[in-house]
Amino acid sequence: MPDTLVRFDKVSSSYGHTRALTDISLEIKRGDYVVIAGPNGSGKSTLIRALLGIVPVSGTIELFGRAIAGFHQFDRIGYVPQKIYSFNPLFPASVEEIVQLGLLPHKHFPKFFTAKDKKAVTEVLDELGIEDLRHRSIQELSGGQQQKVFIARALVSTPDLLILDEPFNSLDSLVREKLTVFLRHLNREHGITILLVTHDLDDLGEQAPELLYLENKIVFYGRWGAFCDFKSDADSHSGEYFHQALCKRYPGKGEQK
Amino acid sequence: MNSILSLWQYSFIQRAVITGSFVGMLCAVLGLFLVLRKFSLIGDGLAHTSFAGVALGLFLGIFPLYAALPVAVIGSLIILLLSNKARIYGDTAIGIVSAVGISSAVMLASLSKGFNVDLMSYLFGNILAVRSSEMWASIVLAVLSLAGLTLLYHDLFALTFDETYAKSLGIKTAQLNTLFFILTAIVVVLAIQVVGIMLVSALLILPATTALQLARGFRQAILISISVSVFSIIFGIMISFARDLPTGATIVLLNFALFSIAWLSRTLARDR
Repeated sequence: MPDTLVRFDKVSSSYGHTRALTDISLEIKRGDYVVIAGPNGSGKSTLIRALLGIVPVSGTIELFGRAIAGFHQFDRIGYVPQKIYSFNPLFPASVEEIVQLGLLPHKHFPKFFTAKDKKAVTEVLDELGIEDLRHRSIQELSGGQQQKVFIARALVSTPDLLILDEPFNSLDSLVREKLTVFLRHLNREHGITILLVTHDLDDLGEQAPELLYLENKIVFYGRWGAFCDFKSDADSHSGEYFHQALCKRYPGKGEQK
Repeated sequence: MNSILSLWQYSFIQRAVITGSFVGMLCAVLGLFLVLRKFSLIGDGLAHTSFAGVALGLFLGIFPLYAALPVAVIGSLIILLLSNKARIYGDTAIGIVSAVGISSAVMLASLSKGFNVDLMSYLFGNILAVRSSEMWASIVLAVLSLAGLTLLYHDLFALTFDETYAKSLGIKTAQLNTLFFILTAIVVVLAIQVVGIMLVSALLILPATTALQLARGFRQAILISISVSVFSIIFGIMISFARDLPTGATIVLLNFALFSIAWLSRTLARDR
């Protein structure tokens, strides 16, 4: 496996006349744990979608050393989308049906699941402590349980890179803390590289060594401590407020990449 | 009940039940995907487009449903194109194609001045008049379509549950959507034989909606939807013949009765 899992070179993306990303260049190495932060509309989710090949971009994106256009090893990436957008509330899917979707990138046409796949689902549900929910409908579960199901779906293919988009939304503090510990465990013990988009800044400085701060371009990418040395040039009030709030929480010295 | 079951001896009843059951199964499965993807009214839109195809067939002197098939497929692709490229919502695209379909049918009917009565039989369906060749054509198309749905099941499941996530799995959602819309057009044309142009969307929507009241998993929803659809078609045909009622309308009202029972039982179970 190459040492650099993700490489962006001068990547830009627009929605109509609005620039979402401008000249993004970065590298994510194996074993990194990076928090992607920034105010609303700063391009965080667009960056993730660009990485997954979902939005068109200019510039170059490489995944696992291959240009994204020719990349097919989607089983190496686990993706947890924003929960509020991530499923139709009327959909009567069981937990098992949802989690096994994560195994689809392993499959060739015609795609059918085997006993081995069932075992993989059992293992990941066990690891997350939700095996008892296997046959329950996703509609019946609490917000925290639903989030665990989506994380199980992302982990079932034993990915090298885990991408989570706002995973703490609508979770209470206890569930959030457990999830934080679990992600740290995945990164440290299993060596899974993690990219985490969040608005929720509590305790992240302690668990995720690196911060990627966006305001449609990279304002800061490096260890948290150096963040305050870099002044936001956001032209919005929310951008300035977000930068100040983040800076107050994590003052100190560090280094930029 | 015995008098209803004794109707099985008639070969036209057998043809109607067999054709209806295959088409019903297909509508039940496809309808679930359509309802969950908020494309419930595409059945209406494509049925109206098929109306133009039927009129074209009568105008040109070819079997109307054979003419309706390519017209409905083109209609479905135009809906997809308008939804994706013309910066308009899916329901608006359906509305546009639907209106153009009906207008074209009325125009053709007016120009020909001779087939208005035939056109009416397609509006409300006449499954009891299905010929052997039509039954076999329906069976072949239904089996092929069901096989297609089975092979694409997991990809369609992912697409319906969360399209963005499906893309992240490397599923080619644009191609899958195109195939899905073509399949929908085929199913709509098949369903016209059973309940007629005016009631096609009911056959796609009601069994699926009934299943969604009761199911706790998607496979369970498919089984319930198929059972409801086939049951209402078989008994709708039998009851309508025995009581001299319009078949399409009987099937739809029976479907609605089953939906009402499912909805009430779910509401009561929740309140308990």
